[in-house]
Amino acid sequence: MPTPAVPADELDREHPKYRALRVYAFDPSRGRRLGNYMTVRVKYEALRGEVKGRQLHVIDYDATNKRYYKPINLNSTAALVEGGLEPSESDPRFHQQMVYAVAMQTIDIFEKALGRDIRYSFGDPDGERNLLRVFPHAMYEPNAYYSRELGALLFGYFKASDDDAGGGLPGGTVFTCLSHDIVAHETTHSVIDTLRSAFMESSNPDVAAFHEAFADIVALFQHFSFEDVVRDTLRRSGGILHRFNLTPRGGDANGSRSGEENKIFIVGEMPEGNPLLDLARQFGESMGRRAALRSALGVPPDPHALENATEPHERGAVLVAAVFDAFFSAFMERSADLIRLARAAAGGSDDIHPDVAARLAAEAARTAQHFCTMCIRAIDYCPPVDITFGEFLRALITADTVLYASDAHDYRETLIQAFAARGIYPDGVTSLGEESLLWDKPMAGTPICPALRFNLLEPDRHIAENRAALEAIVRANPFCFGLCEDDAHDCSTCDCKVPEGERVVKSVNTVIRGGEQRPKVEFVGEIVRSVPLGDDSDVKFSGGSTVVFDSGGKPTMVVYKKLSSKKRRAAQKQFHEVGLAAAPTYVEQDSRQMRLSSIHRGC
Amino acid sequence: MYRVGFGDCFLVTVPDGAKKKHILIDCGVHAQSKFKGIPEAVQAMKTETDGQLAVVVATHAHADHISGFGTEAQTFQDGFTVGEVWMPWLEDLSDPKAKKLHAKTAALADLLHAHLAVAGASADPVVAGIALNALGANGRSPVGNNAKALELLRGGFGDKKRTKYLRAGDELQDAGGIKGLTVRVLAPSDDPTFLSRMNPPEAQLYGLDGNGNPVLDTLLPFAERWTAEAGVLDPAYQQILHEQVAMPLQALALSVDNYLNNTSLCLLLQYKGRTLLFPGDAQWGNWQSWQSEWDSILADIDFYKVGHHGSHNATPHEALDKMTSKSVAAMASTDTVTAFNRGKFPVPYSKLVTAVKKQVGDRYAQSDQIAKAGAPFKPGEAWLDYFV
Repeated sequence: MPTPAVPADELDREHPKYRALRVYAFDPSRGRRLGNYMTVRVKYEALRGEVKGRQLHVIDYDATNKRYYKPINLNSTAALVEGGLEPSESDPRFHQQMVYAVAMQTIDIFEKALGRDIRYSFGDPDGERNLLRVFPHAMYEPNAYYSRELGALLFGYFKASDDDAGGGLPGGTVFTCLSHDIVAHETTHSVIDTLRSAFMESSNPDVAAFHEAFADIVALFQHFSFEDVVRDTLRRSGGILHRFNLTPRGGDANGSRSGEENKIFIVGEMPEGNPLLDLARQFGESMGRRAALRSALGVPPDPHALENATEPHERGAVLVAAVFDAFFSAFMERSADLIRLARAAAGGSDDIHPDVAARLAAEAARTAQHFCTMCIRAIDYCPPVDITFGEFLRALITADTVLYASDAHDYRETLIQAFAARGIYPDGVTSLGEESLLWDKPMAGTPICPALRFNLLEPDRHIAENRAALEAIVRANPFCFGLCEDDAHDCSTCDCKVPEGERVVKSVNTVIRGGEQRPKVEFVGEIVRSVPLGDDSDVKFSGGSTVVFDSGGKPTMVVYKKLSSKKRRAAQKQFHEVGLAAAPTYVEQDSRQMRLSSIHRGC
Repeated sequence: MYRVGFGDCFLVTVPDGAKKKHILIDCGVHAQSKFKGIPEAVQAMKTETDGQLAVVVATHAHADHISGFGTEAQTFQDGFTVGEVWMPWLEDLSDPKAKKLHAKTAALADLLHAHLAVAGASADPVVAGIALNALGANGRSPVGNNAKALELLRGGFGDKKRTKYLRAGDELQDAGGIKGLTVRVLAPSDDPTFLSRMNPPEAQLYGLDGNGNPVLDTLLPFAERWTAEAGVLDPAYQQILHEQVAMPLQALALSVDNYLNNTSLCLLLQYKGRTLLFPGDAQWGNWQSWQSEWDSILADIDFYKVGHHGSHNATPHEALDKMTSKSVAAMASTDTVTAFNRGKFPVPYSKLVTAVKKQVGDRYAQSDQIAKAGAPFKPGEAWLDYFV
């Protein structure tokens, strides 16, 4: 029988699928322990000489010392064969490699979840597609941030505390670009800004906190894809993934002893924190605070936690904790049987069999990926401006319901409970039932937009046309899309007009509904207009709507942030007044656009 | 109030029987002030006081409050007799807490110079101005003005025992040997909460070695061989990047500035039913430390020395609102410093000036507009008098 011919392009593939690159799983402070030296597979793209791909351009310019550092060539034979350079703190080229790998991976997570490419636009959707510049050693400062103005990620470096550097070298140089978490966090800021540029307008206490929380959520979920680390953690926590302290390897030798005998004699016996829960440990410890920068869990559920939390990271931590609470609960639920079996086999000891640990690790990775994907997909369903945590919950539930009609693993239910346990409730819903959390039906008279198109083979093809088509519909019916400016108007009396030259449709994204149903295309329009807030400052008041259309262009669901809302306008004014009142002297009023650099400073 | 430029130099004269007793509160000018009148002021003061100063007060160790004690050190030593010197306890180097904070701030100020040296001509003017003020005109040199001025002040103009270090809660009766004069010290406090808020940032995070000395090399993260010849950025973009990266340095500079301002002695002078408030350059933390006493004190004051040359951040609006006495007057000693305007920190801050005027009516005067001062004030050659 003749051998079937192998298609030529399979044999002679021009492009590999992945580029293997070595990185730190956490940061240099963990050395080689716990699978900290890790190789990641980054989606392959051609890089010409310098590290300049489709989305990123790594530029190693140091603005404090005003000099460039030598660039890496990721196309060299050695780099291609060996997965780039070995992790090293003293070789800037490894830093460039790691920052590229981790940032690309983070972008990839978003692209996979959304089913489309991330196109950087830096607040200007009309602009040419831009490259995100990445400066691994931008400045001498204990800080890292995304700057829309520069279209760049800036990573700082600094000397660790001399008195108390935790596990690190006192006075040693700390590079924020070598922290997996920090790179993932900052890259996420840049992607969110691309997906929802109005989330940089700090119009209520949740907006800045949401940006921070989301960046932490994406960074933390990445931990659960580090196979070796997760397996090791599971073995030493008896399968309880969220346990704070891990049993020393070889069991808790001192557990049965008491009093004077219960002493630690060697480093191997010291209690070790759960690396999966920590965020940016080296950075936190280098600042002399004896702990990681932030943690996935922090405090036990407290329904009043949000009442007094005003600082963005502090407030954001509540959202992070709610999401991870749900994730860990779901994981426990899914793997309870395995854990029971493992414990029975181990005679009640925590030390579970490696095979079971491997099964559990796979389960954890899958659940983490699912939750992370859920969170990312929810962004398309978020209101276009002025987000609150409660609305994020509604977006989460809506996005997931659209995809999976039945909640087979009770993920949605678990999320609703976890959010409620931390005091996060959506406004204006009558119950916490799933169906009440879905976005509302559009108001009567909302027109259909029959011109929306999608081409599966060329997903980018209709982007501009779709936006123009929806723009025309919205301009003809501003009232139905939340753009009416006067709350005395109704659908028939409204004569509000969108001024010429102002574009209100920021994006129309295509969502492919699949899951357990027949694949179906949906369009999500993001509609925003800004007017002066009216408090004799240059602060903007923004409103509009996020509208979901079915494949025929019929609007099915909507979330309004009406420009006519007196309540919202008053709340925003009050939020800014309180912000000013907190500064007790005659401070200059600035525009209320967030500066991530100052939110991050000294964080 | 002597017209010295962007700085403070106030002489309080108390009629002690037939004689007059004089208290000098600060004598300094910022190195970048457009107008500089210290030598003239000191000469005029010598004539006025006949070289007799019952008390010399140095509210805090910024050049714009003490530079005169350095540049005119000889005149002060030869031509004046000084009874007592008052300084904030945070300048008392025999106090371990004060010494620690002092060392930390000095290291930070030095570090600013290190950064400025690296930045060269492109240095941020605000950062440069602040560093200059913290160290004195000759910068890091040990003979710099601030060091020289502080030596004279700490040395009590020839006798160390004359120098008193004051802290919140101190109350001096017949202060400075002036019968009937009561001086209440409102700040700086030695309360741990206040001190923890005062604590300057960790120096090493910005590039100092273990001893707090700036080492230029430590700003470089890699060995020299990793430096590349050229790169890809265009000059315009590079410029924006430099500006953005300079911002945290500005924050560091401001934190040093705020620290020194908040060490300010805040004095309440009470004499024969008249009350005068001299807060130095106190900013919010310093004001806040005696906030519980605002109600009982501020409603009765007859004179307010406007804090920090009328800047935006040194007169809490709530405090100003409480200065409700019908007779209250206010004086601001100020001038143009171009760098502050360019750096968007204009001093005096117009909204504050408006608010002060609203409170005191025509009993407001500014040292750079002596001719414009209203009826209650009496102008001299290089000064402006106000009779409380």
